[in-house]
Amino acid sequence: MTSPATVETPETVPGAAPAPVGLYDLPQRKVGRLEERLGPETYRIIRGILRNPLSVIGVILITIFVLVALLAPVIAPPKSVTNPYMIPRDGFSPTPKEPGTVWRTNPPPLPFYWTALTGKDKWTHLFGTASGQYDIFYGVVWGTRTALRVGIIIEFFCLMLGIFIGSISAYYGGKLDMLLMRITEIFQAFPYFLAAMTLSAILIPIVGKSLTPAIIALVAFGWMGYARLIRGDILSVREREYVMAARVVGVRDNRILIKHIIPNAIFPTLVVASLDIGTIVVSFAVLSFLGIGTEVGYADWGQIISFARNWIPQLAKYWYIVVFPGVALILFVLGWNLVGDAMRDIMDPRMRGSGQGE
Amino acid sequence: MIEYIIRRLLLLPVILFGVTILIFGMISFLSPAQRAALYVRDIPKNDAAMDGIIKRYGLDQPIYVQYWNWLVGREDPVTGKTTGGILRGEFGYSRTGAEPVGNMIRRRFPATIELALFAFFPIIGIGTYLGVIAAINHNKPIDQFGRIFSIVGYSFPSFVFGLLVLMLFYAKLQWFPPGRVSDWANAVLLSPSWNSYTSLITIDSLLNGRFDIFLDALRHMVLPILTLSYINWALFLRVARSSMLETLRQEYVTTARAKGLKESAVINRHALRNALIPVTTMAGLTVANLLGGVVITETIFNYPGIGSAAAEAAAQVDIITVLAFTLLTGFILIVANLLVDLVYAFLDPRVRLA
Repeated sequence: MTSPATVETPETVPGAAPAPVGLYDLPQRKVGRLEERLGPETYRIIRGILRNPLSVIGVILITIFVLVALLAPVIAPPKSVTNPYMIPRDGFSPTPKEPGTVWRTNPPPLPFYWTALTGKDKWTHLFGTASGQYDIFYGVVWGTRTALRVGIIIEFFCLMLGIFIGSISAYYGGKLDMLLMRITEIFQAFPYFLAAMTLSAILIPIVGKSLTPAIIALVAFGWMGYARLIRGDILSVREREYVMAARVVGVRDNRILIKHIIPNAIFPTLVVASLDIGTIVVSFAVLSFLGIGTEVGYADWGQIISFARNWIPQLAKYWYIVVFPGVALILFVLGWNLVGDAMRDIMDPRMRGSGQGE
Repeated sequence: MIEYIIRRLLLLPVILFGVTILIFGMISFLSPAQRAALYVRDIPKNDAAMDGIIKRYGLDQPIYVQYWNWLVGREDPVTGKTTGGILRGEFGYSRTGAEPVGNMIRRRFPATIELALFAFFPIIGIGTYLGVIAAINHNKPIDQFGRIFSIVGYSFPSFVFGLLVLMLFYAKLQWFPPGRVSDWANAVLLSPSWNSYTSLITIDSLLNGRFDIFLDALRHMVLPILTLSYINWALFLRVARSSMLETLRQEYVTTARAKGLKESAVINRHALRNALIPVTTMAGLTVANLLGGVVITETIFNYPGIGSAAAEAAAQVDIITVLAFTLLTGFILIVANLLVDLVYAFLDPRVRLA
């Protein structure tokens, strides 16, 4: 970090307007330019994350995955431009091929770095192939894209739904709150994964095999935590003076809610939500591993790993079907969890100002 | 306390009602032909016969009538017998199992109970022990190690972990096979000389005096237990650790130390009991989760419990079956949650007297 700010008293609100000298005799600390730009809370969180070695590893892992996802067309140029998520196949033989086998029948275009690095002009199966000759390397690289895409989409809709229900529930209170919270409890009473699996299986005949059934199912049973979280935060923000002031001057309900309350209450929910992406991606991968998700051959980690189910007794020989996508999935989740773990410490009010969480 | 219990008990029917509504809501997504599996074994292919079935079981009636039929069953106008009705324990017919779903549950449930029974102690005992050790050695290397162990643990998707242990201990070393028992043991189980008292193979084998079958069944459970343990240890380690740390900060612990008690006495007699209250609730929910069928673990290890049955049914779009399992598991979870809350209130006077 650029400016090492020294916290002299934990009570000082960093970044607050400088108090006139003599009015509050609190020692002022230097506020760096970066901190001014980002605001005190965000600055504190970012600083906390970058100071903890474990969460730095997490940030690096996430960055790598984002880069792989963005650069997928360069790292593994697709065979079909219109449908790049379909894993290219090298024939149809059911027997998996080892990593390093040369690509025989209609290989996809060579990536630019291949000849430069190896001096060869034949594309090989870097991670081997699964049953049906699906190339595992393509699956892992494009699967990164699928993972991020699915994680972000599901997270976005869960948040929207959670914020909508939680904020209405908290702001209006009374019977509506009671009703909405009972509904939330009913959804929470379900075993999350089993319920999502069921709904996904119901939706497949209706919308067809694609990402959609699993996404809808994971959203339908994934919003409750956020609804409760934001409800709690809104309940405390609702009592602040500025909300009262807005009400006194006659601002309409939904405007108070959207303009004044939600922006001030949303932050913890956003943080928790963004870090749940790892877990969500695992749930999605499990669904497609069980065959309740995308169509066969779609680039998706769970899907590739599911090819291993036919080879359980021979797994020692065909280890690469599990290991490459499996390691990708583990590192992906680990990245989010490492950051999440540090974040929870930073956000925990008991840790605040103690220097421990920072 | 009594008021609290009554309040919780009054809420129970509301939640259960909501759960059935939600399940039935999912059923109403299905076509009449799919819904017919609630009442008949063989779904007819031709339209005329199908129309007959739809009429006969009221699948064209208003949704609330169908909901009621689904709950209590429908009287067959032809034979006069009542069929279906989840309250009567009839969940319809399973296409994947080729039998009534109720039978399927009765047949598959013992395996899940058996696995839960054997997985429970290592998960909770070792997980909690690790957490307490980490808390006592706060910020020392052992605590740091525990922290990394637990982060990696809860980042490890159980299906990947399961496949990796299968790769090592089954495909490579041939130590622990998947499934529930070996073929030779299964032949004994099916033979007329075998007395099935409990349907739990380990207990039955001891009662039948077949120690070899006991060992065989145990051998098949090692890998699922290992997988379940590793995933859950992370959770228990965290909960036990933070709860123990919290307790060790309390003033009465300082008092106990100040009056000169040995550290082991402070921890075992004073701190541990209070620190274990949150662990108890976690343990309750873990049991419920184990009993609800661990879908992924059972599927990976080809273990014939209700979890793998649900996964198979879902993969083959046998919705009536999956929904029955979801209902069953949801019910187990709801009851477990209630019990856990009550036990918590009983254990912790701060909740009880509030």
